[in-house]
Amino acid sequence: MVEAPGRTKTLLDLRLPAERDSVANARLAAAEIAREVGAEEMDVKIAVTEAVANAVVHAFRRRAPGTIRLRADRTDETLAISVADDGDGMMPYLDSPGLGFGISLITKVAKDVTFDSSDRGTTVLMSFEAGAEAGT
Amino acid sequence: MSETPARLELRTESRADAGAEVTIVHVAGEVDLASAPELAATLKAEATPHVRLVLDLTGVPFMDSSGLRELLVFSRELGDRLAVVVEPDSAVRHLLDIAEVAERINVQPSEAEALAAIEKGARGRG
Repeated sequence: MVEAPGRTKTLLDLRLPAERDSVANARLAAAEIAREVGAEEMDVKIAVTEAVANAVVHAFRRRAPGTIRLRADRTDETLAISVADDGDGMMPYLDSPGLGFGISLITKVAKDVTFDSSDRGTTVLMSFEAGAEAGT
Repeated sequence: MSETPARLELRTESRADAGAEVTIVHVAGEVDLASAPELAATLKAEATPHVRLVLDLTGVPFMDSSGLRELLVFSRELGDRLAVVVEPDSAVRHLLDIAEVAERINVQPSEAEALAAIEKGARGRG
């Protein structure tokens, strides 16, 4: 089936517990999607890993670990990946395991990135170039 | 998801090189938030005052900022007594380049060159 131009197709919608092992699970799932749509796999893996790790380490410092939602949507030749947690929102911490490199790395490998944070959680929305869709 | 996240495998060997002992830590598997503490613990155990250490990352198909942190911490602690083996077109090299930290780590493209770099550092100190 040929998709109409501009139509968004959801490729992945995954809910993971906010724990360390979820980082690798999110990375594997995102890598599979990157390969499927012809996006730069290593860049997608780096960005998703850092976003999920940030959520695991920082989002639930004042409450029990919640859930991280990993979602991937394709619109034309753009792959949009969001990592959303239901934690406390973004706050600066000096004891980050990544020495604060995480967000910097995301901004370097993603085409665009936005951070939306409130006391109900944080969403990191990242976009990447995807290859041309089959049939277009 | 059909794949299972790979566990980190760490193997340490001691080798006499030009009369001095060198410890080589071979790492295989992905280094991220979950596995970086294991790498850090191994490096901490090996980072004795006069050790000469080669960290072989040629078996690492992915590393994140948690692993990068450990490379920077131990590079600062050991100086030219630590050499890190990273293949030129690898994922780890890509990470070092985008993080712009390669010059802060004694990165060498092969184990032989890492051993030579450490020997050169030891001669410089001697």
